[in-house]
Amino acid sequence: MDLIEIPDSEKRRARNLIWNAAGDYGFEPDFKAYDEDGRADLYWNSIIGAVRKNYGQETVDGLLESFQGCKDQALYEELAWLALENAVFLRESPRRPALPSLRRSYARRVLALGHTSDQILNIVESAHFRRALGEEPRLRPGEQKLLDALELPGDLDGPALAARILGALRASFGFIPGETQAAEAKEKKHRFLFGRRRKGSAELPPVRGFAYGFGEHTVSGQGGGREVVPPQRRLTDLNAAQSEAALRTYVQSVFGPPLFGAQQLQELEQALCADDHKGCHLYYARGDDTLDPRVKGYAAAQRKSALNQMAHNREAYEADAVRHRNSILRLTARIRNAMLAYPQPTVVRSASGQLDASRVWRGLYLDDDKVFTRVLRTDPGDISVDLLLDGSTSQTDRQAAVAAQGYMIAESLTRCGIPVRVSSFCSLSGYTIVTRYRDYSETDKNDRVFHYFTTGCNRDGLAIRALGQGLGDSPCEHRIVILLSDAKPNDVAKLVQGDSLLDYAAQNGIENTAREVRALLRQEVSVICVFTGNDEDIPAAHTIYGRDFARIRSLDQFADTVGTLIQNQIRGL
Amino acid sequence: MLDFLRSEGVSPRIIKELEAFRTKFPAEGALRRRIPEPRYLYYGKDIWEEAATALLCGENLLLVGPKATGKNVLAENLAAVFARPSWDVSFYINTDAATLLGTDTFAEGAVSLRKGPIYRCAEEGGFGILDEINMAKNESLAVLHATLDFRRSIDMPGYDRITLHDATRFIATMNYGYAGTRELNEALASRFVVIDMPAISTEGLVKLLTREFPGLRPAYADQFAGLFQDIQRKCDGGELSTKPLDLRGLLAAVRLMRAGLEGNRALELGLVNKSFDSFERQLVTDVIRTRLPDEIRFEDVFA
Repeated sequence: MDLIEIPDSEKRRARNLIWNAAGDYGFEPDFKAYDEDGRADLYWNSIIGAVRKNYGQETVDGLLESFQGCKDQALYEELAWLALENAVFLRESPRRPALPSLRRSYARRVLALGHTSDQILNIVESAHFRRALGEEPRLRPGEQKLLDALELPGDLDGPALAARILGALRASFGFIPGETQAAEAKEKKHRFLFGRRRKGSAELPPVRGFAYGFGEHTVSGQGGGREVVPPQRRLTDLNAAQSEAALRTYVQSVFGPPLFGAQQLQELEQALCADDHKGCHLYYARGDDTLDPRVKGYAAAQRKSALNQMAHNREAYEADAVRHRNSILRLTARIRNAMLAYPQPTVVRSASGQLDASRVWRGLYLDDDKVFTRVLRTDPGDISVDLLLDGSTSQTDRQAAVAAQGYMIAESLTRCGIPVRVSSFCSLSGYTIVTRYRDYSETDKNDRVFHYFTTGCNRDGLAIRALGQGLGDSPCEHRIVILLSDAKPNDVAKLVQGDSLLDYAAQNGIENTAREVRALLRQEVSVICVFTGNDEDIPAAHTIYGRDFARIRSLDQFADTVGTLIQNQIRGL
Repeated sequence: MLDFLRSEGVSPRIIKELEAFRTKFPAEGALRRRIPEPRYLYYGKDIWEEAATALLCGENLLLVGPKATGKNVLAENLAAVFARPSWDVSFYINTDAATLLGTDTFAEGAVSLRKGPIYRCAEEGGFGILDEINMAKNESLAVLHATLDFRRSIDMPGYDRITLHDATRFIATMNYGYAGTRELNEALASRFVVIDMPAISTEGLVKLLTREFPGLRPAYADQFAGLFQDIQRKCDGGELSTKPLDLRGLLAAVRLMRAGLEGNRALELGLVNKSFDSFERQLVTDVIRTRLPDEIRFEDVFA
């Protein structure tokens, strides 16, 4: 069976089915089931949730761990699930009238696929689902014995159930947890010594065949830990004499595929990398999480480190998912509220309200009773939000938090129907890299914000200029730019002031950034900064953003602060 | 109604006080038409006792709670139990003094006062039900301060000052954190006693369903109550907005089933389609499909 990519929406659906059946939303399911088209399986996910509710997660974990590492791991896993399904179905079906019909329709679907194979798993599964439909399958005695042993009653508790399943596997396959694995390892070593090398049992992929669809296993050990990556180093430390083309290739290798074609990028560079930023370069990344297998060496290590960070961002978010989801709901309600609560006043004529003396004659002579005025409130007009995250090393120790908060802001704004664009920026060897995770119309790509990672310096001025250039794409009348920054611009490429070259740091950097911000303000764009820096940088934040900055001491406050800032901005529209 | 309170186990002393109130303030004439005849009853002895006692002591009530906790049902039930005419005022962003107290209007060539619901409540000794009070701006509600506190009066600029009838009470409802709502300021909140409304229990929901639909089979009453709790848990878990958590919608769906519509289609109309986000709709459909059979016929649901 070919493995397929499961869309995020189906993953979330599968999770919800499991939570619903388990009656508990506080855990991340280790295992989810999908049908042959990769859609969340109604029946199996309900069973997975119900198994947790009735027998406890430790039963399933214990069982699955006992199969870990043996060559028939996948077979035993599936047979164990078959047994669990039977038991939990008998227990739950009186409480959920949908289960019998879901089971029957699943069984019919399975049998209609007409998989005929002489593999034991296939035979036992088909026979089990034939029985579910009330038919009596024809089986050989050994198969019959296995099926009967696996079709367990609903009144057992978790440990008894696990013992019966292991007993059935032992009787039919001689499987004994631990011993089987040890024996297999010994045999493998023997084969290796005597030259009969064959392809070993490779580690199973996380999404693999399960029943007649797919199962997604997300137990620990996947998505990180195995790739040993050297500590991050600045590219500039590597080799000063790199060619322009090599640099561009390196940037692409680390940040992933470009957002724009070469021609468009060149035009943008010409337009933006002028005056103060002359000689600088730009790279726009799409914020993908792909790994180009052709990339080798240091660039590959950097990319892998970035990919690990992306996986870590997501894991960190999932680890506290209930709190995060509730934050999204709260933030959504706040923003929606602000939009509803501050409409613009319009004066209309009406039959009651405040008397308009100049119209009284109409009442007397024309019998027109609309001699009063009333104030009606109308919509404030539409707004879009640009979120620009500082992606330099100054944020390194809080990457997962920035990603989670960025995601929550994007998701909340999406739910309010506010177009939002999320980007991050950093600078490496004269390149300012803008990663655009999600564009105004990409309402289903909020989770790409988890692809955030940090490296290098930050040339705030050029990033803000690039952002300002892109604001023309906004479909809205009012545009708000929110920056997450420590107000400490710093870059290795110099600042060009007439004929002289100045360091892009300290006061020079601050003044340049302030100029770029003012240029945006002149375009009637609201610019607000969420300041993450230290006390000594507060004057710099004042110089750059005037009074439009809010200081947060912990990244946990980011989304909430943005909620307040957006509320204030809407109020001021 | 008093019999219902007895069956709910409300303290006989409170019921006696209620009877005394009704004797002291009988509703007369045209006002009788304004006494609500509740379609739904509120189940929950503790809340009944708290609310009735507060009103008997002359306090105004603020019922706070999320969606589907029965705030309006209780408010209406209270007016019925006290046998007082009631005026419903739905608050919204532009609610102002004129909407509440009255506004100038032009009649027969002269400007005159068209009395608002609060004014009429004050005159007639009615129960004013201030629905979603936190939808309005606090500043526009400042005109109610004198009405709601010990002064119990309304002073209309340009007109007369009137004192509230002794039987007048106000019951406000609010859903904190609901879209379009705001924080109620301290000055206003201090003029009410506040009841934090609990979510409807499975038991209460089953009672509600069986009272509303006497022919509903107990197994299905349990299933519909369970379905509602499943959705409630999904909202609490942050996976769904509260749009599909709609008790009125559930009751409407059961009503449609009684009229002959197939059950899943009825639930789609009553619950699923309440959300306009396709993914949310999918999640609610999944909840229904994993609890109830593919086809729900009239004879399955009703005896």
